[in-house]
Amino acid sequence: MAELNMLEAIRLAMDEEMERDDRVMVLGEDVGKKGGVFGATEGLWAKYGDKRVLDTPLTEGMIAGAAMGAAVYGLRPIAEMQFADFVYPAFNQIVSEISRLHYRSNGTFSAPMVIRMPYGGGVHGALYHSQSNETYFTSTVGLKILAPGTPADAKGLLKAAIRDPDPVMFFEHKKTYRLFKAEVPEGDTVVPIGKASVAREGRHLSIFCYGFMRTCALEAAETLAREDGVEAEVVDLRSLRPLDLDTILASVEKTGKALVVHEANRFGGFGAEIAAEIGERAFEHLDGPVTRLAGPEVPGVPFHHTLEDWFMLSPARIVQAARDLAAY
Amino acid sequence: MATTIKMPQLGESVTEGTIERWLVKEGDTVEQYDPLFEVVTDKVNAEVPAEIGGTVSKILVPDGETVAVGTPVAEIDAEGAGAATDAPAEEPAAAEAPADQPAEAEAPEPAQAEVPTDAGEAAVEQQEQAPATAEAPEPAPEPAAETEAQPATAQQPVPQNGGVAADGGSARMTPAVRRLVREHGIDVAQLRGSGAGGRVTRDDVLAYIDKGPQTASAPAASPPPAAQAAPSAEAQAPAPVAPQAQAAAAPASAPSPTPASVPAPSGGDTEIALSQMRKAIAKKMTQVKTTVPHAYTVIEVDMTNVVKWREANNMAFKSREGASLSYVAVVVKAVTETLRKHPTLNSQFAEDKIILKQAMNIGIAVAVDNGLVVPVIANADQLSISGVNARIRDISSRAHAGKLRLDELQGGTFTVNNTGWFGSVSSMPIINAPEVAILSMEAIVKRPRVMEIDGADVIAIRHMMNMTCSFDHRVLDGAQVGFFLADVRAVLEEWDQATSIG
Amino acid sequence: MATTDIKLRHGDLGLSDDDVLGMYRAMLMARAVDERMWLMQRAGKIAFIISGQGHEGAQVATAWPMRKGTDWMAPFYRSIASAMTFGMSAEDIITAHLAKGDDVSSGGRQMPGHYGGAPYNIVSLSSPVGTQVLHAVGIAMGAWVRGDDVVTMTQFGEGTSNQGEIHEAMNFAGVHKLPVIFVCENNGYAISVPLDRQVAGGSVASRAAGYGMPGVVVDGGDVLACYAAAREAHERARRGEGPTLIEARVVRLTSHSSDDDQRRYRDPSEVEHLKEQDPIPMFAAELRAAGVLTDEIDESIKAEIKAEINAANKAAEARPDPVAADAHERVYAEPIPGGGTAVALAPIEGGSH
Repeated sequence: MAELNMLEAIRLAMDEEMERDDRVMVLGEDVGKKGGVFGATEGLWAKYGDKRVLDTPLTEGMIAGAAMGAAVYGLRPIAEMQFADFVYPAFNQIVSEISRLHYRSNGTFSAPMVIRMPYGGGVHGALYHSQSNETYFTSTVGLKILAPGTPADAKGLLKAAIRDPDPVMFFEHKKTYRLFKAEVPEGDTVVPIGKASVAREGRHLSIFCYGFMRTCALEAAETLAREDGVEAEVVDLRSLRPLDLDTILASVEKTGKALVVHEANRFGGFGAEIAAEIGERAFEHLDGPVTRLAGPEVPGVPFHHTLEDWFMLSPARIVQAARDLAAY
Repeated sequence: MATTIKMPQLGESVTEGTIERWLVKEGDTVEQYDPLFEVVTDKVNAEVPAEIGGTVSKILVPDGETVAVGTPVAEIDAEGAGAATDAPAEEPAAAEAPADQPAEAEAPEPAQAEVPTDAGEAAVEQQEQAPATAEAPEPAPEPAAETEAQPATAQQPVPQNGGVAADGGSARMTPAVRRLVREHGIDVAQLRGSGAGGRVTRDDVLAYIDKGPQTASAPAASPPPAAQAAPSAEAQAPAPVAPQAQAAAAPASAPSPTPASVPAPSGGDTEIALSQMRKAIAKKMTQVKTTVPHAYTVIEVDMTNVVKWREANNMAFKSREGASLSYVAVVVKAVTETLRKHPTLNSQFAEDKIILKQAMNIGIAVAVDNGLVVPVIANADQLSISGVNARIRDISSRAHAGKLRLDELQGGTFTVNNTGWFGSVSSMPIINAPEVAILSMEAIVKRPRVMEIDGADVIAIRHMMNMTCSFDHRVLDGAQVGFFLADVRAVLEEWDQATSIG
Repeated sequence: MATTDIKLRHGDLGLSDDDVLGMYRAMLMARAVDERMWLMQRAGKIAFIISGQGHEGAQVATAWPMRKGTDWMAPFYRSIASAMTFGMSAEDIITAHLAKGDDVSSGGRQMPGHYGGAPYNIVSLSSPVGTQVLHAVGIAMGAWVRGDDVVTMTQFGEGTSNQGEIHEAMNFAGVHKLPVIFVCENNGYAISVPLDRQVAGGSVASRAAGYGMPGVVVDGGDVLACYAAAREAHERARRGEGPTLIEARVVRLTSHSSDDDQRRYRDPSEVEHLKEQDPIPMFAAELRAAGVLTDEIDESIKAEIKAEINAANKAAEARPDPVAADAHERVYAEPIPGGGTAVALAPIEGGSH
């Protein structure tokens, strides 16, 4: 097995899929010759050429809308939004059109396409290069939303997304791009969409997280075990829509205590949905209030490192929240 | 066959239309889609065509009138092929909201008891005790357990709140705890809370299910050899105040000892099914007796001064309160005064620590029909004698009526048990776990007593009452209990005749 | 005009008499469907209608070079004639307006006027205006990437031409010379907002240069001119020379929709004279002058059309209504119970959950 970081895993997924299926193409700003501002598509343009790794004008609406047209036509486009923060001009196409096409045409049209975007903070990107805006899309019926936390999941899920007949939004936490390397199975390993993974088993409380928070939660769990004797179960959701409620509920039944962690701001965040589902469906198993640890209620990550540190969730913060819940 | 022409909805959100003028009159023949009338709405003005061909048989709304959308305006008698009419829209079946009845929280209903008859002044100078069943009193019941609502049955709904938290009755049971309690039919009073604020956690319940109640950190270590004190004459021997050999309980056996096999009933035998209360009592008594190392101290109390005082004041008390002054109330007052100086008797054992309870919630054992309940007088130390008396009467009568509230059956810190009313002079009660001590007050009997008066020994006829204290030997030792009892005795023996009946 | 001139004209364009009669018939048919639906709306059978009356000449003519089954079309809500020329039947159009359960456009899920037909390569359209233009460009991009001989046409109004996505679409198409034809049907009104408040510079086609493509203004009432422009654009696209923007100046004979009354904002004399610009009688006159159309042929076409409309109307009305329990279906191509969570939610008829 190879050891890859997130970026390498994502790139490898695209490469393998483009080789396997010549309908797959990539389009976005700077994806071609430059290989993407993060290098996600490095080497692909040289290998597959201009028409399959297409540098587009600076037009997010067009990137999403043309991708939909191409998908309708029969291609499998992977549209890259340079930063999740810049997806909003494409919002009309994504929500009005892409998410609804299948339903509004009574199933006769489909848009098998992927929109990939780097999201999340901790990289001194400030308000417009650090947003976690998954909630605008998780509540949109008709989309599938993924947020892998490991290179293996990134590769496997991106493959699944590219092959999926529905539109998939693929959230890549930019802080994890080069943060660590991990084992990635070689070959055509596809991770199914809609299944969470239990990253660490534990019996005292369950931590539900995704993306970069998986890494932070696992670190926190180590500390909790070592210092408090608290065994935290870490569940990496991986797939936000569809959401693997079965795994979530099984974990809550086991531990009785649920802590949801996400970087996006708390109010109306995705954690609210998970908390509500747990409250409704696992009520009889709760041994403590369902708790959310989330980003603060400010419109984004401020720039100065003092401010950014104040904003970002960390293993230490997760430890604290978990401690409080475990002691309930 | 007449087709009714209705005022159409000519635009979204249009709710009415005015017939500007009719373009046909009754009797006219029209073809399908020929114009019938002109309509004015707030959005559009239009000609409305006939939806079918035929003869205009009736015009129902005249020129100039405004009607709501859908109002019949004319009738056309169809001829030949009728126009296709709209298929009636399918009515979706009304969604049935799932009837979701949350379990009601109700106070558990102890078994109904007969209205007690006053034991009267029968037998002995008696504390007026509320409970009395004329028939078959329990053979030396050893009151200890409270009956909790036994959840696993159809009759008793799950108590939604409450739980014996170590902090003396805070009602915080999470859904998981309540469910487990319900599913396993657990007596909540048996649970000890290790969570924040003494909350009973899910793990506490799971541990309880796995290992049984209150696993002692060490089994009752080498119990001092002793004969089991029999509930009879032996205990009549006046017990010195000093610590004495304690009659210790049999060493704690396995939490769930296998019962001796019972032969099947044979001719003439009668089977009695166990009531919920009986089951609960059986379970609790077994559990407490097998896990808590019991020890006992008996003392004699000369109640003569109390008796005198009571006799002097009872009439006035009765006319004021409508009921006699019970000796139980007096003893409860004496106990609460004394517990302040001996807080260890008002505590709970929590595996690796002892929790001294702040509140003094005195449980009063009440015999009810075929069973026993121990309602609690919360903060008894804050009540006056008449207050305690009233509470005793209230909870006793409601115990018999089966009208106790759940919170009245929980949170006790010490129990007083009146065994004397049915004549006992010595008993060995089972501790009302998770309390650590229980006090029996036996019958007040006139007996000769040697007293020292003015330096000389005299024999006097005195009103004597034994008190037995059963205690948890993990927490308490004989000396402590002895001192406590001595102090209680002192309060009673030196009873001030001027004590107010307030 | 001299008879010889006109005869040469459609002949010049490679059109036979049958071709132009076919165009005429298509215009009449579209008009007949349109008018029938207005009647149905006023009679309370259809809730809402957006009409294309006045656009038929431009629509039929520009759609005429498009190859059914090969090319693609991403029209807008007024494109009755375009869609019918490209394959949709009168029954399809009426069924869509009745929102029947087996409607090819949407199975009753969309409002009237939101056409679509996978069998016809007509992209399902939505309400936010102009989004279809990007879809057309995307299809063209797909064809270009795959090297397929496919031309895509997209239609929109002059109001929509100002949406940002149109700009993005045209720019992108121009950069890569994508095989797409942009047809802007400029009828002078975006609901009630007139042209001089809508299009700075007064002409949509004049923007084309900025997008690296030719822009052509045609008289929407001149059927053959429209056809010529479209055919040229189609051939350009097929040759790999890129997109074309055609601005067809048409008249909107009716109000914007059945919810609108243009007499409330349009000059009465203007409305009075609209009929004079109706492309159908104008084309009929042309055809008569060219000796292609006679009274007999005209009556025969009209009788056929009337019969077809009646049959289509009747058939459409007889179709089944949609079923409520079905409303939960076909949200995703790969079905997910409950619409996106892993826990199946039983759909409740008529209720929410």
